[in-house]
Amino acid sequence: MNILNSEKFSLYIAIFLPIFAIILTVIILIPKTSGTSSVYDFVYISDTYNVGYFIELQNGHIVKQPLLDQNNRPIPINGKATAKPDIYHHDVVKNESRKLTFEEATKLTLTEGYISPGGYEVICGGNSNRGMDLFEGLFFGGGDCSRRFLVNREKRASTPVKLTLKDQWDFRLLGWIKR
Amino acid sequence: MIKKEKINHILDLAKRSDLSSADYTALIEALRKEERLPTASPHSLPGIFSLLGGAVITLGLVILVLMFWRSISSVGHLFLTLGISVTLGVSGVLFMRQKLSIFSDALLFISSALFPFGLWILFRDFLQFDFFAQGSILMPLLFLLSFAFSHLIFTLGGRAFQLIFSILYGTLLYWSIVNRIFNLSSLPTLFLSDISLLLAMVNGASFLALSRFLKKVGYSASSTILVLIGSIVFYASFLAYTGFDYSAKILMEFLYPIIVFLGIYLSTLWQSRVLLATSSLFLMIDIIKITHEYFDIEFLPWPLLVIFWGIILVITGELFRRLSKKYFLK
Repeated sequence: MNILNSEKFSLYIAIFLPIFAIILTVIILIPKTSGTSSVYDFVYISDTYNVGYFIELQNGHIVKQPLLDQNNRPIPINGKATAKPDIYHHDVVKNESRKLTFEEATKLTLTEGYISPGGYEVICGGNSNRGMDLFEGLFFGGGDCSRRFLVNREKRASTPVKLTLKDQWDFRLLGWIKR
Repeated sequence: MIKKEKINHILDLAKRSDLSSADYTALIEALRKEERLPTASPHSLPGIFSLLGGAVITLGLVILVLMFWRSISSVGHLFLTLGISVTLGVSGVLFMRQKLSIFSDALLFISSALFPFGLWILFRDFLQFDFFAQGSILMPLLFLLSFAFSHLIFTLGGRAFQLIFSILYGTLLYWSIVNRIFNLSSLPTLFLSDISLLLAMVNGASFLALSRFLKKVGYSASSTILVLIGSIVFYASFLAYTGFDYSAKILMEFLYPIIVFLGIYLSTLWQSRVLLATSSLFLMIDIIKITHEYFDIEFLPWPLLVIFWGIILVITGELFRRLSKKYFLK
């Protein structure tokens, strides 16, 4: 029997093509090992609000800026203040964060910018675990920050990062520090 | 007519007692196919009204039930979805057996549409499964069962519109499995979009292949719809894969028009005007895309670009007309 001429040949193609694509996707994607060649760790802050000051980077050093109104007067704390912001140093090789005291943090010299000198950046994953997002990743980058990744767009390298945060949306990158 | 001629030929042979077992098999097969031909064609007005009626009834019922959803117990939820789906599925098939296809179409439509919602409620509320748990395969399972159910109904009923549900749930099964793989891969969406587009191309190609099979077994209308959707999905994802700016995928930029011309050639082989139309359309889009990407606005001012696009439009339209006239039967 010549299978190429049989009427079911196109049916077999229609069924086996997606199955083959799925198997190929598994082979390509699943063995991707995590790990990074970034030589820069990063320092981030778990932002909290209504504490009367703002932590930022000035000339490579972490400073505490009082929040001022238009007339340069400190903005009073309205109601109950939330917990103080926490600063963390994330070791990209061990993939773990260490909490810093404010004094420790001020002694560090950081490189500013969303992207490290080595080309790495911390991005939101988008690849969430919600089964409903069938066409996720098809046309848009993800906005789901429940998972974050350390990626290098040039090298197309990526590794998930485990951050110590109560709320993943409170993440704010302060800068990069060479290991 | 050809089938009838075959049957008549076999009957003639039967009168002369000159029949082999292969002839009997052919006769049975031909009769079975005759039987499957719709008694009320979906193109006929009653057929269309029946399907539309099914859709409107479903919509009305859904709205009515949703208004009182919170006050209904979970057993009631299950009955309203899975219970009704299975009941209507069985009664639809029974009506079909009695040649009452006008009723059965609406019933089978509602049955297939409700089934995944019923399963969702069964899994979530009764079996306490968590759809959002890490590594959960419930969503693929749900679509696999929905696919099996709608395909069973199609096999029993043999109505062409029922194929839509089989194909829809099959496609959702494919994408839900892809989603699970993406999730397990620990890669951000940033790196997955290219693979998504390749998988969408596979989706489109699979639709095209399926359309060929459906055409051969006599479901021409469904086949045409599949060619339309499949070719659009295939070309659109290929186009998106090549990128929309000075792209590094220069090989793909070259490959794309070749694929489109192959599509045009295929359309003449398959005698498919729809494929010719979508291929011409995407050829046009590609030319506009390429000029936009590679021609500097200072090199070619935009009014000239518009004129150029206009000429391209006219040429492609003429190409479509000529091919259509020369290679298509009617």
